[in-house]
Amino acid sequence: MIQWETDPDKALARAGSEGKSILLFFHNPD
Amino acid sequence: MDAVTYPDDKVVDFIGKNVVPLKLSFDAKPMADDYIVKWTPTLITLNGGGKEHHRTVGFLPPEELIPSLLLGIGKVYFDQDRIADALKCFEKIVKEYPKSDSTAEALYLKGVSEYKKTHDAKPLKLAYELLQAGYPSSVWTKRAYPYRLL
Repeated sequence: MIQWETDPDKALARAGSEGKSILLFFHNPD
Repeated sequence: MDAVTYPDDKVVDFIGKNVVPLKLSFDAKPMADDYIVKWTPTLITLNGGGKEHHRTVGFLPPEELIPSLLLGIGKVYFDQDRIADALKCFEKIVKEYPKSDSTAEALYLKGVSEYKKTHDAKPLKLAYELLQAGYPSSVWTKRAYPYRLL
């Protein structure tokens, strides 16, 4: 199961500290 | 994507090891406006500073998502002039996902990356020849067309 981040600031902080790119997935929750 | 692609074991493993996954609603403010999202699913590869380097719109099955993400990661490296790291991504796509929709672009960028690394034009010509042989109808074959003369 993918552990999605839902907080952009947290994702950016993680990407910076882990040296990774971000996969930003926009979806329609309905 | 949530029903078919994201539960796939290979996708879970790849995403867990290689990217930070961020999931937002299409109307999440201000991100949806900042990235001009008009349809879903929209998948964007960002660098660690939030800059966009690669985007797809529409469903991708597992066998297309992984090479597309590799292409996105490779383009982040390429745009940062981390050519050796970019080459690893493009080479992996060409070798392991030769039939994906991302492969022709990866082959093109592989040739460009090798040229940037060596300042030798032969990889550009080879990229065109491989594109012409394997992906004759790809837009990337058309874009590499001038390299046949090198």
